[in-house]
Amino acid sequence: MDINKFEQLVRASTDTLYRVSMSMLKNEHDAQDAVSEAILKAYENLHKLRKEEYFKTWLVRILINECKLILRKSDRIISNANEKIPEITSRDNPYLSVEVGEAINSLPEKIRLVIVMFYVEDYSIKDIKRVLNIPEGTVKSRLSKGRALLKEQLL
Amino acid sequence: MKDRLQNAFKETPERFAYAVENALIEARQQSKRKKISVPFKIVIAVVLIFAVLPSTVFGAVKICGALAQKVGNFGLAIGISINEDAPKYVKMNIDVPKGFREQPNTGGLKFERDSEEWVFGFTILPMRFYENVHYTLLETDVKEYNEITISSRPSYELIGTENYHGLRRYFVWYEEANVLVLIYRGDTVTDSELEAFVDSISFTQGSENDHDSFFEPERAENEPDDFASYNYEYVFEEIQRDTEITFLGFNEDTGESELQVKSKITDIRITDNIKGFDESDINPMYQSEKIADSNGVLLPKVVEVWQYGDGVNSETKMLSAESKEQKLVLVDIEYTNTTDKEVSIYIPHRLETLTMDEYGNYNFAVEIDKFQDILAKEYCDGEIFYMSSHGSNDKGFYVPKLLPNETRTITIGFRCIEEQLNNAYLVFDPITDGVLVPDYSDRANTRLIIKVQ
Repeated sequence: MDINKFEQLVRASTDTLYRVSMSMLKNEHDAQDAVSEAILKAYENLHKLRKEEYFKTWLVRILINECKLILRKSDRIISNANEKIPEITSRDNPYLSVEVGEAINSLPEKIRLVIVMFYVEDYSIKDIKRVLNIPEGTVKSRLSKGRALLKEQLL
Repeated sequence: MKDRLQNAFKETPERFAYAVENALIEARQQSKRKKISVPFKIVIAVVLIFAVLPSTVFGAVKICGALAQKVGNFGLAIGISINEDAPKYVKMNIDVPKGFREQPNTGGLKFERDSEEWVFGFTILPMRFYENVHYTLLETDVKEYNEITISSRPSYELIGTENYHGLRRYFVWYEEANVLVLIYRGDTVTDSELEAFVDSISFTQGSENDHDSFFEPERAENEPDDFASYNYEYVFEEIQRDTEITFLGFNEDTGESELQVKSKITDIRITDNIKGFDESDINPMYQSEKIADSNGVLLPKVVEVWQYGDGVNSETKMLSAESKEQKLVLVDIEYTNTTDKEVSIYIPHRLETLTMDEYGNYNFAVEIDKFQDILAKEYCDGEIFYMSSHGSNDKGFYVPKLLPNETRTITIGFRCIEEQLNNAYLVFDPITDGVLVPDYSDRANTRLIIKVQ
């Protein structure tokens, strides 16, 4: 895959990159950092991608790992400084509906990610399994738990 | 709910798309930097080698096959003492020996013969160690590792591992660099070629760029539903023959698991005669062999016992081959579709021979001495041997279809050598991609077993 094709596929994935990174990080500044790092790593490791059709899945997997790195760093900073987690500003709120946004944000991170990938990004169970490297049963149980938790808040 | 969630997000802000564009510009600049001419790269390499070699080449080599030791009741471990003085980052260099070349697009991990016809040479998997690790484990029970790269070669950084299974490859420990390289050797590769290849690998002082953390799986500890990702050691749990198993289907519209099929074993019979069986009910994978004599009596099976070598001090060899009488274990399973739609079911039963050790744990009977790597090749059929017909259009050995609210009995059969029937158990295949999954999927490392006699 050449750089032109790479650029084209990344641009086509912009919305997904935004939603996945924001749902994990809840902070646009960090989300931009994660996405930039993910794009650069994806380009550096492009030779490892076996099939072009897996590009988006592969890129999202790299992004999720970048988000995890950022989360881990911020965990350390917060725990070291004994600070409270900052409130989400309006710029950092990616959701149209306050109610739905709050409900999604209240989900545990792992469940939130699976819910967003399945319901918002239309990933299949198998793709989520591949991206997150977890068993299919786990994907399903997280979806079930997430759905139950959302139901409590939204219905 | 799906609609509400799908429309929950705002449009991607322009400033975010701008950040994506900036990253693409940087990637494009990297691509220009990468296009250095080949001769120039060689000059750089030569300069670097001359600059670095005299003081910082880490070439100490220890082939670890000889060092495997039994650890507790678990498995084999390779004795490795971590070199505290090894640098934090190392760079892996391979001066590919004459007669071989790097296979393109393999991340520098595969090597083939330098000939017109493609012939496999070596595959390598480098693993970096740090902190106090005394045992290595490569195939099971990984407690924690990072997937990293060393000089653009994907590898593993092992943080805390133990319990090693199946030492059947070449492991080379580069002591001064704390790197273990697993080497798979092609069939045509000679001992001297292997030796030359091992010698061609060396390590020099690296930088952060040579040793980049790329992907880190989540640690399984305290996360039961992730446990199955990294723990391949199953716990067998015996259940009664007539226990009802529930199969759950996943409804993609609602996102919920729901009851779809129930199953129960209603009978198990043992025979040695297949006279009258429809040939199309025999799994095609077994049809090429001679199965029975003219009276329909199953023919004996030749059971081979092998000792697998460690690849360094011992070779893989067959210890014995003995002809043993076989029986056919026929199992009637009643399936009920509890829904008002047609569903496909995966039949998860397999037949295995298991023995119980003094601690009450089940072990595979074919593992005659797993610490010495002595294994018998199959006492029972690995796949379903026989399956009763179940409809004209849905004949298959794994996924029959059940009509809405239908109850149907399906008979499956496995051959097993007679002297092992006492150890024979129906084992539920640990499926995750099945059409329907049994409802013990939340205990993915548990395998339910049913004794056949």
